[in-house]
Order: sequence, then C-alpha cells, then structure tokens
Amino acid sequence: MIKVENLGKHYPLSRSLTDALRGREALTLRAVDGVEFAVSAGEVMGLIGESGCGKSTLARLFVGLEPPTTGDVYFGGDSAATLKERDRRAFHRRVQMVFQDPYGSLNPQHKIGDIVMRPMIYQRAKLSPSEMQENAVSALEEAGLSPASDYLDKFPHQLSGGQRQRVCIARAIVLQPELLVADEPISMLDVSIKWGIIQLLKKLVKDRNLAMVYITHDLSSAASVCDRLSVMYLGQIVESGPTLELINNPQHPYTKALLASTPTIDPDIAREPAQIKGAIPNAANMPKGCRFHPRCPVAQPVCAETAPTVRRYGDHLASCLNAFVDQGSVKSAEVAR
Amino acid sequence: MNVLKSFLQITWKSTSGRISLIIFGLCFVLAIVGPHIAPYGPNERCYDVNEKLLRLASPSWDHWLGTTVLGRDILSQMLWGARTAMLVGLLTALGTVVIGLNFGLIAGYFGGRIDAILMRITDILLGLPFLPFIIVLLSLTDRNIWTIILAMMFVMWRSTARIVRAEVMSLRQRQFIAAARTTGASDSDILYREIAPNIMPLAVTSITFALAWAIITEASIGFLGFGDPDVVSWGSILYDAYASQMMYRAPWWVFPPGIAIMILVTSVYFIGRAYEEVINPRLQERM
Amino acid sequence: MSTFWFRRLWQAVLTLFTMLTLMFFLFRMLPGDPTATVISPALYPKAQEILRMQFGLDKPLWEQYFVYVKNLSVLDFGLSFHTGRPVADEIGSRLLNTVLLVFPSLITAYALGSIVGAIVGWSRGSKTETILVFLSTALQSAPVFWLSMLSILYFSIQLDLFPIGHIVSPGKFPDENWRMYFSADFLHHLALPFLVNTLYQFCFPFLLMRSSILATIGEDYVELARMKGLSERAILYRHAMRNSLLPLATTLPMTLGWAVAGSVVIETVFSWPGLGLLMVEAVGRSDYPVVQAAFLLIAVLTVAGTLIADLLYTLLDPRIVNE
Repeated sequence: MIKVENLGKHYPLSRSLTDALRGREALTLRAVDGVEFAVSAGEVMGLIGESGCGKSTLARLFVGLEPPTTGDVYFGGDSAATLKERDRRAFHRRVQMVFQDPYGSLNPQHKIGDIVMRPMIYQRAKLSPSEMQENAVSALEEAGLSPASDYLDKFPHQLSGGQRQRVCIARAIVLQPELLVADEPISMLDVSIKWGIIQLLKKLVKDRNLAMVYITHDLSSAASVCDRLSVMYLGQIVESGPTLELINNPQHPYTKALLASTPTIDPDIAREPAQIKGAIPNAANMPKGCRFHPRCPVAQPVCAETAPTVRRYGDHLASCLNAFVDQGSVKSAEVAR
Repeated sequence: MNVLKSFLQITWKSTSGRISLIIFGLCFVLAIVGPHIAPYGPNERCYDVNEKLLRLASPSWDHWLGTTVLGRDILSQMLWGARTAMLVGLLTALGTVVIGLNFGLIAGYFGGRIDAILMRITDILLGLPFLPFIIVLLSLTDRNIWTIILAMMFVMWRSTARIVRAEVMSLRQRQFIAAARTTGASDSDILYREIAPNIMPLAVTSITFALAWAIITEASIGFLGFGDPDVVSWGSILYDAYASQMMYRAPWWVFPPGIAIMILVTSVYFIGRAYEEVINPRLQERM
Repeated sequence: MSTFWFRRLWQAVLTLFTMLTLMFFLFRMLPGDPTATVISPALYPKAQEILRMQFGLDKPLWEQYFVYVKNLSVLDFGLSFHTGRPVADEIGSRLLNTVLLVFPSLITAYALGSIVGAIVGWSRGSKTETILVFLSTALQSAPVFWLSMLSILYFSIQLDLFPIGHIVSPGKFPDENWRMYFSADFLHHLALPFLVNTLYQFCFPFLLMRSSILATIGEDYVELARMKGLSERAILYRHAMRNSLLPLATTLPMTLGWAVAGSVVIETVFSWPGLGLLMVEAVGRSDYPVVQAAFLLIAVLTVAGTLIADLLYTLLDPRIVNE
C-alpha cells in the first residue's frame, strides 16, 4: 500500500527589485499542492489532467527525482524521505518510472541489452554478468520483446517507437519495484501501438502484483487501464474515485467538462458542449478561493472567497460545494475529514 | 577501444579520409622506426671520400636530401624529427583533451559554483595569446620536450573544456539521464557512463584539431630556437637553416621540413573533417 | 546596451589585470634567486644591492605587487638588462610596427576571404572551388614561418623583387622617426610580409564563409528572395552574406589571437622590428623586463582587437546586445 500525504512541491520564483523594495513577497509556484491518495498492490490509480496541472512534477516526486517541499510518500509504513536517507539505492528499487518519450529516455549510445542491465549495475547488485543478463532477458521477454536475444545488441534508433517503449518498461521492471509510475506512456506512440502497450501494463500489474500510477491527459486510455481515477487541476486533486463511478457520475465541474470533451466514436451519442471558459491561469498566480472558480460554469460568489472542502460519497471524493448535492440519500454531502 | 574502432571505420569510408589515414599511418610508422633506419645520426658530421666535411652538399645518392652547413645528413634529421613531431603532437593532444574533457564534464554537469569559477577563468584568459605565453613559460624553465608539452597543454585545454561543457549542459536535461537517476545511478555513474559516451565524438574531433595545432606550434617553438637542444625536430632543422644565413644557397635544406609538416597536418585536418562529416548528421538525427 | 559594454570592458580590464598578475608571480617564482628576473645578475653585487632596495625587493611580496602595478600604470616597464635603458623607450615604436604588420593584413585577409568564399560557395561545384579549397587547407597546414622563408627564397633572392627583411633599408632613416612610415622604402619592405600574412590568414575566413554560404543556400528565406525576383547577386550580397558573416564575426577574436601570435614568427623571419621579435630576442638574452613588457603589450593588443571584433559583431547581430 502506497500512501501519499499532503504532498507538495513549491518553487520559489525570483522577484524583481521593485517588488522586493515594495515588500511584496516572492511568488511561489505551487506545482503540487497538498495531494493525497493511496494505491494498493495490484491496483492502478489514474491521474488525469491537462498540461500544466502538475502531474509530471508529481511523477518526479514519487520516483525520488526531486524532494517534496511538504508531505511525503509512504511505502508500507516507511516514509520515502527516511528511506532515501538511509539507503538511496534501496529506495530506488521500490519505485520505477516509465517515461513519456520512449526515444529520449534511452541513451542512444547504449545497446538494448546494456540498457536493461544498467539498473542492476547502478544498484551495485551482487550478481554475476550472466545472472544480470538472465534478468535482462526475462524482463525483455515479459515486456513482449521476444526472442530477447534478437534485441540485446541493437541500438535504440534501430527499434520502432512501440518497441522502444517496451524496452523502457523492461528496464522499469527489471529491479522488481513495488510501484510503477507511468507518465503518459502512450501519448507519443502511434494509435495502433497504444493498445498493445496498455495491455502490457495491465498484464504486468496483474502478474507481478504491482501498484501503478498511470498519468495521462487522455481519459479514454485511463478508463481502460485504471481501477481508480484522480483528476488534477493546478496542483490539486479535485476529484477522485473508482473509475466507473467517476465516469458515470462526475461531481466536479472540471471533471464533467473533461468528460464532455473526450471524443467518442459513436456520432449518435449526444454530448453537452464543454462549458469551461478561458484558459489555465498562470500557476504562480493562483486564484483565491476555489482554484477553478474563474472558469467554472456554476461558480458562486462564495467560491471566490474560500477554498471548497472535500466532500465524499463512499469512495468517491470531490472538492466542490456542489458535489453530491443531488445524490438524494442521507449519506450524501458527508464532508471528508 | 570501441571508440577507436568506430573512429577508424568511419574515417576509412571517405576517400580523403582513407588517404589521410594512410599518410598519417606512414608518418606514425616512420616516427617509430625512423631513428633505426636513418643512415646517419642526427648530429653526425659527414665526410666525403677525401675526409673533407660535407658542408651544404646538394642531394646525392649518399645523402638523399643533402647536408646542412655543418655536414649533417638532412634525411636522417628528418627521420629523427618525425619522432619528435609525432610524440609531442600526440601527447599534447591527448593530454589536452583528457584534461579539457574532465573539466568540461564536471563543470557542465554540476553547474553552480564550480561552473561559474571555470567559466570565469576561461573568459578572463580569453585574451591570452597562445604562442607568446608559451614562450614566456619556456623562458623561465628548462627547455626540454616535457616542459614544452606541458606548456602547450596548459594553454590548450580550455578550448576543449568550453566545447565539452556546452555539450554536457544540453545533454544533462535529456530524459535518459533522469531515467538513469531513477535506477539509482550516482553522479559519477551518470557522468562517466551515461554522458561521456555521448561526448566521445566531440572528444575525438577535439583531439584531431589539438593534434594539428600542437604539431605546428611545436615546429614554431623549434624554429624560434626554444626547443629542446638535445632533440631534433622539424622546426629546429629550419632554425638551423635560418640561423646559418645559408638557407638561400640550400633550398634542399628548407623544403623538406615544411613539406613534411604540411603533409602531416593536412592529413590530420582531413581525418578530422571526414570523421566530423559523418558524426555530425548522425548526431542531429539522433537528437 | 550600455550594460553590455560595461560588462565587456570590465571583462577586458579584468583580463589584463589577471595577466599582469600572472606575469608578476611567474617571474618571481623562479627556482633560485627570485630577484634574478628583476635585477640583472650581470651587475656588481653592490649595484644589485642598491637596486634591490630601490626596487623594493626586500619588502614583502604584496608590497612589491603594489609597486609593480603602480609602475605599470604609468607605463614604467623597468630597465632592460641588456641596454640598461628604460624598456618603455623602445617599446613604443615596436608596438606600432607590429600593429602595422598584423592588422592591415588581417583585415584584408578577412575581407578577401569573405568575398571569395561567398562567391565560390554560391556557385557550387566549379573547378576553381575545388582547387581553392584544397590550396587553402594545405596552406593552413603549413607553418607560416616556413611560408615566409619560401617567399624570401623566391621573391627576394630568386626574383630580387623585394628586400630580404627589416623595415627599411639600413641607414636610410638614421633617426627612425615617423617620416619613415610614409616612405616608399617602408612599403617596399612591408610588401612581402604583408602578402605572406594575408595569404596565410585568408584561408580560414575563406573556408568558413564557403561552408557558411553552403549552409545558407538551402534556407527558406533564400527561396523567398528568389521568388521575389531578386537577382542572384542581390540575394547573395544582401541576404545570404549578411547572415553568413555572423560565424566569421564570432571567430574573429579567436583568429586575432592567432594572428598576433603568428606575428612572432613572421617578425622573426623578416627581421621586422616588432613586439614579437623583441620578445624572442629578449628571451635569448634573458632580458626579463623586456620579455615581460613585450608580452604584456601583445596581450593588450589581443584584448583590444577582441573588443573591436565584438563591436563589429554587435553591429551585425543586434540581438546579442539586448541580452
């Protein structure tokens, strides 16, 4: 069980001399602000959001590329910060990442076999070269590159996009991590390849009992991979819940708009037009109160004043004061925590 | 090493590269065996049948390139000089690039204070004239081959460092570096196992240009009379020719060293160019 | 705009300062008697003692440094070991001679190189191009002092067209005053070194301009200009060359460094009484104050030239100034 509590990453921005003289505080860019969720082994949690919402920063925080400004990630009971302090390498063994760009995340000067063996080398694993090769081969096979021996001596530029991404996946699983973070793993692949990679990821989660965080801006792929979904906006999670529940019964206006704007193949399905106005505001200059209120079609005056509390209905959470208003039963509008 | 092999493969492909490699290879071989096959010693005075000193003899069967004003065989001097040119050139080039490479790697990767200091030094000493500074250094120390090599390296490494640093700075943003870090790679792992292989083509090109420069500079130092007095170099042959004031009567003394330098350096330039022409588009393609 | 220049000038000043400090420490770090480079060991011990006190050599190092900088700022370079006279007396004319040798030929070489390189690069594949490229690469690989020797051998000895060396015929201008520079005799002596230097420096800008133009040929704005109906020549001069000049301008400071350094050997071959020859002679005589002074002035020349090169660059590419 991987728990994320109050995770935040703030970047201080430099301020001009005039601002400093006027006593204005330096702005901080709150890329991730108070994010919380949990993922269990064998479960896939989807993280949806547009560009700039902070999901890539969140991915980097999970994987330990950057230290969080607030909060922590807990593996079992252990906090990531203490784990890293104690043994940085051992920490990295527990969580691995599949990056968005299959070409950019492979060193063009290394052979495929090398690439998949390197994690073990960097871990200073006490394995013989033949054992390392065995592990690499089985990782490649599991990632669908079979027979692996065909690929060992090739260079990244000799493979197709889909194959490269499989190499990245092989590299990510070779250390037997607990948590796999997939940051838009299919967005740069051809449409015909996407499905194969998604199936591969699902299979790995099942076979290895992995926990996975699947980050994307594309709701349709998230819907087919994820057990649960979280919607991110400007560094915060605005809604989260089981996938089907969230898709069929979205509560946050942003989620509703996202769903509405997702293309569907069937032209006969009538869809309401998306109703968000405007563009994502500058993340350094957050709106007061609810961060979504300037663009929200159902915003009320109070939304500009105070940030909304999180409301829950069973497993389904949303931070909007309109959430669950029409659920009818007594259980509705239960304020979370 | 892998890099050497791929370097030779690439350069061999183009005609100019192939010819240049052969020429360079010949010079290299001459540098090794030259002193052994030279008919005379470099400072040996040669006499004719009548026991008379063979001053300024024009080329003949006994002395293919003639003799100097002190009766020394020029061909032998040229063969001995080949060793000097190669030894000094290669050692300087290698040393320069190794130092420059490491500085560039460390400065480019770590950035911050180390990089700022390095760039400050490089920028400030931008106006340092190379050859005059070497001369000043040599005026203060012993004149032997090793101080010459060291003086040249001292002046040259900064150019390589700048180029490498720029390249490293663009490389360190790449995703495969972040990927390596997530698997537990340490800083030195990343520097020498991930970044360095991508810098190698640049390093090789640097070596060729440093080599060309070193050969010419070593000859210039020899020509000015600041070379190692115990060592014959192509530059010092020209120094003897010029200083004797007899060069006007002995063109056979003046031509060989210059032609040899010209051929050797041209071959190095063409090798470098042949390599670069292949590597550069390939780098663009992969980026 | 002014901040850029301020920074640039400050950098130049810092460079010069670092260099003279470097010289200071280098010359005093000799193994053995550290003062041997400041006071001629040829003098009587008593005289050395007096001079030692006069130069403040018994004082702590930082005080000496202070005196050193102070002296330099009033252009007091000390006394030559060889002549016993102040170095500053002779060095002025030497500086001028080097400037007259290096800068005109460098400018000519760059101008010629750019134009020929542009024309050759624009009209691809001609015989002239292949020959010129090959010759340029070969010429660049030859040591410039050897080229000088060859030119003397052929033009001066064989053809008797030019004098063998020196700046004027011996005895013609006994006072060596400024009138000398305006004489035909001077030009006659300048001709050969000027030609050799220009030819040698020509190669680099030529090759660079050519490859720069080759890269420009494929660019979109060239196509656009053609479609607008401009003549080939207009395109070349007004559009392509302008942009291709940039890499040349960037390399000009570097080339300048080489040119000044190259003047050392050229002056030696032609016995041209400039800073380079002065330095070489002084090293031969262990005349350290002169070595130091000559080097510093060469450095000043290089730095000044670099600043001028930067000025040219900003004229070509206004972007860099607004950084």
